Amino acid sequence: MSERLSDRWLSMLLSVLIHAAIVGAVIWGWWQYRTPQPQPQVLAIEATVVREAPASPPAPPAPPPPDPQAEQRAAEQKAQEQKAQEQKAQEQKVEEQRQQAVKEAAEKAEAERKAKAEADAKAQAEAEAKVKAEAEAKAKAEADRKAQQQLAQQKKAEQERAQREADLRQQMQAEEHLDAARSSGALAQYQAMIKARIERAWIRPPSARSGISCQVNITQIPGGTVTAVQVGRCNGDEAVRQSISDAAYRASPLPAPPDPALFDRDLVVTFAPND
Amino acid sequence: MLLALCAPAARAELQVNVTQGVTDPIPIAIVPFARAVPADGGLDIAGVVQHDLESSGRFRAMQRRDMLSTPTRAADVQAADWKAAGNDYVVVGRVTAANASEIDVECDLINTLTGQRLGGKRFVASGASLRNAAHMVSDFVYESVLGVRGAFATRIAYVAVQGQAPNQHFQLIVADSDGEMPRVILESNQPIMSPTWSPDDQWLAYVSFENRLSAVYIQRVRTGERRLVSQRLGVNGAPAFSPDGTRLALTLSGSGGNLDVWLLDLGTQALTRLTDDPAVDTEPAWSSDGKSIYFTSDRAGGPQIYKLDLANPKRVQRVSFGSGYDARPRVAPDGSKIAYVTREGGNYRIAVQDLASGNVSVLSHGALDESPSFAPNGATIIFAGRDGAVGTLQTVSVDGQVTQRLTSSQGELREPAWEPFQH
Repeated sequence: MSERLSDRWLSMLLSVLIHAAIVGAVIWGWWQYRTPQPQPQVLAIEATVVREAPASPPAPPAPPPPDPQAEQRAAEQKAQEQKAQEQKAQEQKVEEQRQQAVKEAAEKAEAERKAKAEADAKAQAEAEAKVKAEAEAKAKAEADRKAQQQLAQQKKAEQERAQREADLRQQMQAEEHLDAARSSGALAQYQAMIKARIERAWIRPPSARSGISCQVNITQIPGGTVTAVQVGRCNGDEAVRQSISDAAYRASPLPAPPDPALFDRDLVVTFAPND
Repeated sequence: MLLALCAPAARAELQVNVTQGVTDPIPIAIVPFARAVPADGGLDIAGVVQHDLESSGRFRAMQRRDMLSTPTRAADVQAADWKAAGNDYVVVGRVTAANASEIDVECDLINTLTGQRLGGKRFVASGASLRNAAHMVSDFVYESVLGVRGAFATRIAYVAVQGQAPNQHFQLIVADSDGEMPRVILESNQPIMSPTWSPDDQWLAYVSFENRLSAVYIQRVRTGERRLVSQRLGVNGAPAFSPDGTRLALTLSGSGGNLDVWLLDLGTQALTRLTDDPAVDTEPAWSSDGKSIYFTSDRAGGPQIYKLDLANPKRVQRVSFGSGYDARPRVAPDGSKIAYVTREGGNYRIAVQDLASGNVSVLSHGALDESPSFAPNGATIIFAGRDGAVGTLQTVSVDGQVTQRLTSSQGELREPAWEPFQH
């Protein structure tokens, strides 16, 4: 009986071991041969580094610091004082000599001055006489001239009067002409020509939307060349203002009017896109 | 003799009313900058500026061979000469080495019509960022003349695909707005889709199939740090950051398989359902005020653009009515328009709809144009088109005037996303 028991334990143990071994082998086999997953590769990228800087000039270099050497300076100072005393004595001697020379020079100058004064007085008298003679001659010439001038003025006044009359006549004719031109539609035609010219020249920025209304004062000279552009009231942004100012310059030279009398130096252009 | 006194009538100024203009490109001369060789690495800054300004469609640049002089300072510019040559503006500049590692770029802008210097800028850049400084010069000129902020110094993200199925290789790429300086930030043998920028330009959200199923990740662009955001059962797709960057709208199908728009709070991970319709509801796009979401739905039979109110998601309005197929909406940065793909005849093209008036204009002319994305200044739209059998990226100005193609040697290009201005 005991033999059977121990046998049984042994066989059970062996059975368990064999099963464990088989299971272990299966697991090991599965572990080894499962399909590997392809891992995606991940890469990082460099940062971009750009910064904006002010265009400022570099600061000037600082001055070098002074050298502290106290003792040496004291000794130097003493030697300097001695030297100064000797120099002072020397200078005094030189000073006395100099003063003597100055005195002699002053006396000499005085004599020269006196002689010069006499000569000057003589010259002045001669000059005065000359001036007097000139003045007399001048007065005579003046009188002659005045007489001539009066004559010329009279003549001129007559001419001017005649000219004014002619101008006025001409002006009245021009006014009539202009009125006729305006009412005949030539003015409208001229406006349309300028409008077309400027519209072709206006490169509209995206912000020039319907609702924008801006005025530009344009000055032109005969021939159509634009000489001055001034943006007036405008409810658009800077890009709009710039674009209409550019348009005015780009449209130069403006077309000539069908009737020359219609030419106007000053234009007021209103930009008001309607789409 | 009495003279008739006739005072002439005071001459009034001539009045003219201008009611329209033109959108011709503005003629500008960008004079080659004074160089700092070899510190500037051979970069032709004026060339980059010229390419930027011309590609916007708003400027026409003078040819270098026609330039009789090449000034580098405002004081040396004879405005009348440049005006006579047909230029309204002149840009001049100079590049100098500021120190061992930095480069100084200075520029001046002159209006030849008035002869005045409009302004200038000075930038200091590291050698590697010199191209960026050139784009900042372009932005300065663009804004000074047009009054609109330039978007040249911003980046785009897109997906590049090489090879043929089933052995395709996918790359997620970040490049400058002109397509130059492409940098691969993710590579995979499984599809990458729907890249989209966070409002602070730091993160990209995208869909990746790297685990054999769709999942939404966000990745910090500068460092490569990644976070798994949604890998729920079914479809995880079309992520879109809210304008404040705290939430993500996305498309989920769950186990049921019906695509709907959901809202995920990135901080709390709370998930809110936004659409609950048996139709396909997908491709969410936020309004600029963050209060509404535009999306594509085929609840009316075919794909159309709808808008839901976040305060009351059951309030859904249909927005597009023009054709039988309108999908994949994107909202302009100022919130005034949306761009989407519309079917015109048998072709799929990019359309822009003004939200106030409802007016729609079709901007592109291809057969299979898709994935529109607005530039952050709202002036241009980038999209994916086809050039024969090859997918390319193209840009069109919002008034439909000009189209540019971004060239690349990286294979098929898809799904571009333009980063927003940092606030």
